Amino acid sequence: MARHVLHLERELTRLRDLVLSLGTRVEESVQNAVKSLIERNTDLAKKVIESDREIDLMEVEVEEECLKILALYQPVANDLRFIVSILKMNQDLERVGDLAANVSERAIYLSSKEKMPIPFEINSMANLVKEMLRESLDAFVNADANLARKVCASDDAVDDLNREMYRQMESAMRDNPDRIKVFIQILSASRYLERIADHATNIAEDVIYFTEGEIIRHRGDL
Amino acid sequence: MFKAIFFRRFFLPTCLVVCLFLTGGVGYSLSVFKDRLLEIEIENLNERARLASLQAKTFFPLKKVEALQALTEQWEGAASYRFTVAGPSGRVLADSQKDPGRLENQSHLPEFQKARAGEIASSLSDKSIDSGQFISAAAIEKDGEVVGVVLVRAESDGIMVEWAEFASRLFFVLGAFVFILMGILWRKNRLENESLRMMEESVTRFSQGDLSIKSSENGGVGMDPLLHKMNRMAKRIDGRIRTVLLQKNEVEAVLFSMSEGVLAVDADEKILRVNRAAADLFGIESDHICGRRFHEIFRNSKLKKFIRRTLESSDPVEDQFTVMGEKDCFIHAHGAALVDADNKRIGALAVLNDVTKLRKLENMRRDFVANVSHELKTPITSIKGFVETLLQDDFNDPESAQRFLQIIMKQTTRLNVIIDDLLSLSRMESEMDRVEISREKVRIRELLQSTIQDCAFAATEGQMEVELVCDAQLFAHVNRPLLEEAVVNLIQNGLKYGKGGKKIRVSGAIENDVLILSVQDWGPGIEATHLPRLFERFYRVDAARSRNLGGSGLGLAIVKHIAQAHNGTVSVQSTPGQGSQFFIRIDLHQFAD
Repeated sequence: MARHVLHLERELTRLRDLVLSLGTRVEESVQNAVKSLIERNTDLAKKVIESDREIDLMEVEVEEECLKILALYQPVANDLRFIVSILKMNQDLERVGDLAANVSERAIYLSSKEKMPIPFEINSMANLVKEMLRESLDAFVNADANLARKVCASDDAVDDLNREMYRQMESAMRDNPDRIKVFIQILSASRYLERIADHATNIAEDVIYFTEGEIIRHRGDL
Repeated sequence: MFKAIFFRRFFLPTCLVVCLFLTGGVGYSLSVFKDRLLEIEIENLNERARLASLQAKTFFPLKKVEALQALTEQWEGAASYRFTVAGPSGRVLADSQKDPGRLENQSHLPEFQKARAGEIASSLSDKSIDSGQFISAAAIEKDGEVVGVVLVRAESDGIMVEWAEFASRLFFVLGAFVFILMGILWRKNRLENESLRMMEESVTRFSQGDLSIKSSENGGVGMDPLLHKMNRMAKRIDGRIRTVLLQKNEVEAVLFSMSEGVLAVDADEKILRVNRAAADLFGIESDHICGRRFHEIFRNSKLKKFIRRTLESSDPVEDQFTVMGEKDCFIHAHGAALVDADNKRIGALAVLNDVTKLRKLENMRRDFVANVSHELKTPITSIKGFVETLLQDDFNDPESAQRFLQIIMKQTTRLNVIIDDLLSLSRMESEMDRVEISREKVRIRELLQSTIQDCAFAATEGQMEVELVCDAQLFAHVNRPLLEEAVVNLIQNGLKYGKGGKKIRVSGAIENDVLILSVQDWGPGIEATHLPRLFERFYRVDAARSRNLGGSGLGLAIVKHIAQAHNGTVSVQSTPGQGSQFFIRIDLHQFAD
């Protein structure tokens, strides 16, 4: 029995490491994607798109590891919650990786166009999203439900910024109908960032679930 | 605790052994003594019997039984034994205690039979003690013939009582002796206990790390040398620990004052030590990070890879990577294995060197050389081309010649501007190192107004309006010509690049003893990537455009140098599409009125 527990403990630590590696990669991807967008760095954007493949592989590895632990050790209580939340976080992280690649695609397109200033809102949105993702991973590392709640709360700010972007782009399209394609690209980059923030929120919710055993999704109050 | 152990292990066994030996010895000597006592008694009886038999001989042949009877009674009176005289057949002739006629025949007694055979017989067995009687018999011989037997009987009680009395006295004395002995032992035991307890205390203290020497050296008998040695040992250990602590503190101080980041992890990638610089490099604030897995704290996949490589490789590892934070840092990392006292590998050590600045300087130098040659080359190429054309033998077109010469003139002026700027820049640089600039009290509004007038022509040409925002009562100690040159440069830049905005605002203010001069335009603005390098020599946001506008590429570099000559700074804020604002900040603290 003791050995069994010890093995499980070791497997869980390994799993944690794997998820964290994935998280780190995704975080860096997002950072690079945002950087490539703001600085019009095509090389960096290409790098992000390439590294998405690696993130996908890592996601598969994490999932396999989770399934292996579930099948071999049949964990209960805390451990089970941990694995279940990792299974969900894993998907979120992978999606964030994809979105980072999408942002990078927009960045490549936008930097190929003539100088089109990136709206300031994108900048602050990107910073906010980066911060949220970082904090949700911090919350995971430290099993800190309070920090996770903070992440959930900042999602609204990103949503507001995204709505503001819609308004701005709408009027910009009306004024410059000939550049509609560029505006659409900017808009979709904004939307991707907003989606990344949503996934960061999901991760934070999973952290709350595994630390407190409480599912806070789809609740107005926090 | 020691009391009990001492009692059980030392005191009790000692007492038991002493008691055992004493009891054994005393028992043995008592039994020997008793045997001896009996022997003497028997001897005595035999003697009596022989004497009695000799005396009784005179009465035989027996004439008067009464006389014999009286004799036996007389014997008993003298010796307090019971005397019996029996005939050869065993018939009792006289007895000192009882009527002879009533006594049974004595011939069945073994002593009688032996005496009858001619020897003195006596019973000397324990049986006789149990029976309570000793018997001794001797034959009465007359003319070689046994005519009778004298039997002497003694009660064993008397001897036993005497023996018992002696034994009890002996036991009493021994008891007293044992008691005193135990008392002495007990006292000694307690003293030893005390010193042992003290030693235990000291050892406990030592083990808890309290090595201050306190255990007194007068507690135990015979424990003093030990205590003394223990104290000495404690003192030495204390000294060594202090040395180690000192060394550790030194190492820590060195580590923490290093500008390079140092990160040590064990074989499980748990953090052993991190210095401030490393934590700052990665923007880590939490203090309790030792013992945690390092990539939970340092979330950087390149660093993780690097640490892993260091852990796996036996040779020192080197790598370069960027850390993205508020500012991107370019890091040059060195890794080495961490070994313990037995040269066994216990982890990895990484030294992280922030080479961002170094890289920037390298880039700047490279760019400068490239730029300066390019900037000089362009006008020269153009001049050379036109001069070659003019020098052609068949060239005969005065109109074109005029035009060419004008172009040559323009390019020469440009060259001149560049070289002038370079010269003033290098002069300023060399002077700034040597002497403090001369300062005078200047009305800021006046200074700004005169710069605006200097640029008035360019402003009207570009159809731009220059607005001045400055309180007339502001004064500051500055070098007027230099500062004017700086502001003129900024205004010219604003006029050149802020075309879309129709307006430039020049403002001056003093906040907290800091003079802030700013020039704001509402042109297309500058992208964030260019901002950090904007003040470098020949740095161009858009090379083609600005060269057309006739700049030397040194304007902002000169502004920067003038600000630095005033111990001030320059900075720029810009949002693409919304315009830019340049600031010159000069600390007037030391010139405050």
